Amino acid sequence: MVKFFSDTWKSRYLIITWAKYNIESNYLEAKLGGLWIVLQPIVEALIYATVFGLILARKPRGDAPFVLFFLSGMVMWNFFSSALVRSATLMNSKINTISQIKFPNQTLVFVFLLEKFVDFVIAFIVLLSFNAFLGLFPSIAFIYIPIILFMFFIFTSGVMFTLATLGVFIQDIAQITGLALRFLLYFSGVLISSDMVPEKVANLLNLNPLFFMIESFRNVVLYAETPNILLLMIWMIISIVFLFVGIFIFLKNDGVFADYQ
Amino acid sequence: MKPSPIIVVENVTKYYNRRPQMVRRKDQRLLDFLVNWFLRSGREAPFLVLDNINLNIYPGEIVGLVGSNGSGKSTFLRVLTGISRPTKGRIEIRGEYRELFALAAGFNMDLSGRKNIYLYAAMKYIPNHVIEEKIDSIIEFSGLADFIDDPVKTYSSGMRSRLGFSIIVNTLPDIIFIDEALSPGDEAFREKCNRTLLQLKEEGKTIVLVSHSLATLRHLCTRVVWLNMGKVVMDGPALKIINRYKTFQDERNKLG
Repeated sequence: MVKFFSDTWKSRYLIITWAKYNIESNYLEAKLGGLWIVLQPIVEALIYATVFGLILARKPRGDAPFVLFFLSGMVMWNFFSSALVRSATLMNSKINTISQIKFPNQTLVFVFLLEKFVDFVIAFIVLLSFNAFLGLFPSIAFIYIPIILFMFFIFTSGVMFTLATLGVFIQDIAQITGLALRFLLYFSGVLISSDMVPEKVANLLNLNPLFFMIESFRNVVLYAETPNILLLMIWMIISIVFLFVGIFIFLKNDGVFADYQ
Repeated sequence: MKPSPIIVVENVTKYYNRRPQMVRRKDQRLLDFLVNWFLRSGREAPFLVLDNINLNIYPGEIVGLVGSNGSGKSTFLRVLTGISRPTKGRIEIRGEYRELFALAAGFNMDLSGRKNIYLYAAMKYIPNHVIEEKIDSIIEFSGLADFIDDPVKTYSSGMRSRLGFSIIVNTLPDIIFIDEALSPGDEAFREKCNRTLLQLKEEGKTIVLVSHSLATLRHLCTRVVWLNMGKVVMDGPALKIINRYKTFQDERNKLG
């Protein structure tokens, strides 16, 4: 476990370089280039805003327009789902490198995480500019953003390590992840908030770490409300446990990935 | 007195759980996996790939590994380099090493040759200023100057092995592992590789080589280890072992 962290730290240059190369080849070669990172969350938020706002005629609380309500949720959700959806196939897709060069295999997970993090930062900036455009500026509650995000990234990487390991041995994990994400979207706080549902349901939804994280994030960004500190601490601890369990599962199998080429 | 070995292999044994390559498709279905996992049924017996291997390799040796397909040569090299973990036993490598495996050499196919050089360096913790110094000689040695900014997927297998070999010999390791990686190169480049390897040996570097070309092994190696069914059959001076291996092969071929 100690070696895991020291190797990862020694590989920081590798992780950054690799992620940079991947981003370059993903975006710079597309016709619209880096614009896609910005366009994607906006278009998605517009779709949901249209469907829920016009067709179902529902409105979020306060003055926040529906587009921002969704955009703030989508910024978080997109990071989570895009990171997870490829986790299960991550090791298989790089099996050539794993089975032919000795290097710390966990860097593959971190490289992918970093790529998604860059997307996230750009989407976050888009969100803040939209907010500013509509007269919403960062409040004092923003000091909670780093804490919420830290927890969110820790949680996501824990799940990623678990899925990346299982995906090597069980091909179905990729399909299961896809379906589970579909399902989770509706219970994750992207499309609903606590005040839209009865209190009992809201309490239940808060048992989902994603729901809690996304709602806390939105409450800070759109409503300048501080999150529930007790829940924040509990989920922080659970997220850290998740990360260590994920790393443990990964390390337990690290020496046999190359056998599954 | 013998010098102390640079590579120590003690009682190394490796099992593949269910011969992953062979039964992968079947086993990767979730239901099969769960059923097997719960029943722990010995439907597929663990497959022994390396059977209690003991070996000391000394600085300045060029060791060739021979054996028929499936004898465990490549697995042994993977275990030596730490890419794959042995089930039992201990491996100690006292020095920096580079490895080069056949076909893709672990390259990222979508990235250019130049970017692959930087990535390889980062994977081996080679500091940036060192690789900046070396990159011109790596590119020159490979003879790929005109293609170095093209994606590696556009390279032929010979070009890939040129690039791979050029990276590993130009980054100053103590030990080099090569698995059948030079055969795609053309005659001229192979000749150049052989000269380089012999020169590295003169400098006291250690080389472990897997090859089916007995001529190459005869030309390069000081020592040959013959593997069969994961066991060391014979280990000794290159010419002697190669001749014995050749006799064995010829007789087996006669039997058909």
